[in-house]
Amino acid sequence: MKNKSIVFFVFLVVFLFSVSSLVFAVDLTLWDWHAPRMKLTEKYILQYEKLNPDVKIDTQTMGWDDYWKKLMAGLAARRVPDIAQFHNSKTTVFLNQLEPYPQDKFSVDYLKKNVINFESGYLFDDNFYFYPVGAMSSLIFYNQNIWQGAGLTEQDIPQTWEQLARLAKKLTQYHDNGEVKVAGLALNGALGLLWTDLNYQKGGYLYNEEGNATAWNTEAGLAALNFLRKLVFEDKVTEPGFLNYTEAMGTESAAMVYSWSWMRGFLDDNYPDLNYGVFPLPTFEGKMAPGPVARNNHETGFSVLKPAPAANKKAAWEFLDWLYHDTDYLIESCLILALAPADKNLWMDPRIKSDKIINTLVKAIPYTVLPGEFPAALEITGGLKTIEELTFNGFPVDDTLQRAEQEASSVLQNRPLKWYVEREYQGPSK
Amino acid sequence: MAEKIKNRFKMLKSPTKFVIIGLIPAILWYLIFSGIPIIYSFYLSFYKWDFLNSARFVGLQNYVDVLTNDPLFYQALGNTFNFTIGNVLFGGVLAFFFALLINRLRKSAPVFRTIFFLPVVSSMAAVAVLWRWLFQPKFGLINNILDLFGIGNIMWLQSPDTAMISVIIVSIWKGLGFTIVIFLAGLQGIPDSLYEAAAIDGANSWQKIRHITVPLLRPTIVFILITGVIGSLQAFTQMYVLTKGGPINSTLTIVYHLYIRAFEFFRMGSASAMSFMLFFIIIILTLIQLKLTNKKVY
Repeated sequence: MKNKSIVFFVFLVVFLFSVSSLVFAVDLTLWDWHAPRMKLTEKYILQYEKLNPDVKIDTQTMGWDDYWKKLMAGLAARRVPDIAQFHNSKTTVFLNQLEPYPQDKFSVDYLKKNVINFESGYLFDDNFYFYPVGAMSSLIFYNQNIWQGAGLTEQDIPQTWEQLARLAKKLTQYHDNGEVKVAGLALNGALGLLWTDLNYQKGGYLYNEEGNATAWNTEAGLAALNFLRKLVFEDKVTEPGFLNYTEAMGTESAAMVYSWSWMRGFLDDNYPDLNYGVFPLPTFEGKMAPGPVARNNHETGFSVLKPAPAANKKAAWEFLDWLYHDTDYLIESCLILALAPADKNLWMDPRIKSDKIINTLVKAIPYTVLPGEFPAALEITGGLKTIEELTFNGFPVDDTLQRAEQEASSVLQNRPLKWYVEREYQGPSK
Repeated sequence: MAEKIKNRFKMLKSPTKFVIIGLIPAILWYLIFSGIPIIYSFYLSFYKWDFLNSARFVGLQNYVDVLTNDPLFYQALGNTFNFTIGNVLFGGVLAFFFALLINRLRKSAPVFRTIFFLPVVSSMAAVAVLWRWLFQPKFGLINNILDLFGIGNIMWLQSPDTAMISVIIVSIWKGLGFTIVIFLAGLQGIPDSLYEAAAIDGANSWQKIRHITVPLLRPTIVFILITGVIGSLQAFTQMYVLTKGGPINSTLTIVYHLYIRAFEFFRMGSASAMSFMLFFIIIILTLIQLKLTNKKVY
């Protein structure tokens, strides 16, 4: 009797598996590391599954670090998701593992004509492997309560760095012992990033012409860093050891902070009552043209992975064709991530125009430069981090850039880049 | 049928067989999740491999590269030794001191033992958030308290001069409870009669600690020393969550350095070579410690 029950149970399991595979002709897997974006994608997946009952898409969200480790391990074992969110900072490592987008479904001519940085940022040997969703860059976030308290209005938004420095000095509040109480411009945690933008404004680049080393210890780099040192040590608009810029903004301990536009999500999630505004980065001459005024980076979309089974790849392209030709999905993605849509036709959409941050970003983005691949190791574990650490620890500028450059070049030696395009910048006409 | 089952139980009555059968799951677990990866990692240390392309045999090149072509390796090695000395030495002395105090509090001992053990069971990632705020130079609790005593602003995690000290403080705080429990177990194994005899002979507290407690605790001290050194040489999480190896690589340890090699640069061969160099360093240090302490253990 017992044996019969076991046989029946095994039969039932096999039967259920068989039936499920008949019900869903294709079972796709999709990975992302960004939970709010995944939530949005899942909303669209539900719609797609209703329209295509033979397709089932399983989703998996995991943290950024785990995501890339699992993807790498999965590729080594040839067990990967069919569709994976991609980030262009991983281009050199992963490009060979991605399928090119089928050009019968996705018109390269359209994308070339309408998407910013498409040719320099997406096309590799006439193919593209990840979808252009939107671009991000830096802005100045300001606390409107502190501004109003100082009698400032939008008319006072600075156009030049000198104006901004004067304004920041005016807005900085000090304790009796001379320490900063409210920073006029909090840079702590973002100094290295701001340095890259100032370096561009001064005519510098991130990489040398061959793309095998950084080009930081230059006249432009030194001028940019001198300006930052002046802000910290002479103008005292912030100080070493002050709150990280995100916390400083959130806790109203900074009148202004420099940040990339993603901070909108952080502030809205953690400090929903904060009254803040944004304005574009000032320049040394007070005008954006000819640029570049800052670095930008693209938030790229999904990729289909080479090791996925052929039937799944076909279904994956059909899904992505449906998803990315829905402008609502692209716009909602940009709203969630605070991106300027990559497709310029979406810039006039009322949802984009009414978003104060994205609308400001859209106006600035044509004057920003996509450098190519910018590995996290240059930003988080070395290079830009070193610039900030040495500056706040009072190291001289030339020594700072020399050491940071040494470190950054060692990163590039360990992790060579295939893709660097910053010298292709031609300004808003492109 | 019943006879068969009876025979099986008989087999389990043999202590050796029982132990072997009982150990099989643990051995399998160890083999699959530790043994095979360790062997594979040793094999990889002779290859160049980036996960995605096929591995290429390079002999000892990875070891030579680490030793001759990686200045950060030596800095990381120095930092690791500094961390180990600070963590094991100060952590051990503090734990010994608190264990002595708790051992005297017979009734309330469990309460204090639990309080000290709480950080051990806390997540390092969560604890790091708390400590980052405590160490915050301008708004942090520690500097605000020090300010009351006129001690100036210390840039704890932000300065290369103090970052390693800060990480050691957090590590000691996190591991103190565990070491205290081990010391307490050792202290409770020392017979009271020895202290009573010493008291009759007129020994004061310091003399009792020096001539009775410390000598009889030597096996415990050796255990704490060896496990502490092994654990500290492999320090990673504290640096990962608190400083990311900075500022200016002042808290970069060997394991953090090899982690970057493996998972940022995908240089698995080089990272494996580095991990085996650390392995040999640990083996050598452990053997030296055993040799030095072996004869003196009571």
